[in-house]
Amino acid sequence: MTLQNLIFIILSVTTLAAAVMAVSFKKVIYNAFSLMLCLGGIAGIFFLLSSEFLAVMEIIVYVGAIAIAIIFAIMFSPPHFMHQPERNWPKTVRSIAISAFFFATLYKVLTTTPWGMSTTQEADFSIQHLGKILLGIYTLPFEVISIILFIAILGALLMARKREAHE
Amino acid sequence: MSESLIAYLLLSGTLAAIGVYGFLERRNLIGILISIELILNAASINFLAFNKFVSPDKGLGQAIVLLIIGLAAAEATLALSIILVLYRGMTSINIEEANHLKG
Repeated sequence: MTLQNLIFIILSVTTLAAAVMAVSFKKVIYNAFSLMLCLGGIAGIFFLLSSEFLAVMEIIVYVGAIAIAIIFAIMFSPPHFMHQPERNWPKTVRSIAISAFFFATLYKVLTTTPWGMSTTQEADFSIQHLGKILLGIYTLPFEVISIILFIAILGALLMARKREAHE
Repeated sequence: MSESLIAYLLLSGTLAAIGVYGFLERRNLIGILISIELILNAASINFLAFNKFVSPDKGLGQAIVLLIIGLAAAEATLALSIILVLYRGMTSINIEEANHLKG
């Protein structure tokens, strides 16, 4: 077993265990902290896939911004989460059945499809190349994303503002 | 194992299945948002795995994942503001009681 395989196994086990914790704990704040651990594991997986820049972006944007925003939302909201509703067991069983079916379908598709492997020798994973294609061929998605971010932030600010009159 | 495409695909498939389970089972809006983040991250892993092992252009998958990260950030801010407004107006966080728009 090489070192890379060992790292891959450790990262995947961490990621999957943290993902299970992120959906199974009943206290929301534990879910948020498990999500942070899971996102860290995913950043490591990105590193193994030789996309170092995206691993760093994953840490900065997901762990640094989104997970922190979720934790802030939990802490700003009134403490309704102190009284948790009881687990609805039929619903849990149904959800497990549906997600197991989903995974079985994915497994069947993934293992039976013949993937055509890339044969190119010189692989250019560099940020320079990424920036060139992002601002060269794929300028339109880049601009669309900037507009979407702008509108989303405006909408979020508008919605979360305190209403003056009624309510 | 770390050099085979199928290991990464199975990892991301498991992650997406966990996300789907959480999305269906949770009755807490923040829990549902966390599940959506898991599903989006599974998609990102998939894109990067195909980028490394299948795609001839190694920048394309990274560009798509950058776009996914941007979309996830936009979605998270909007969802969190909706959740905060809901929490302010309702006495419960159980989404089965957030049915005033049902008509």
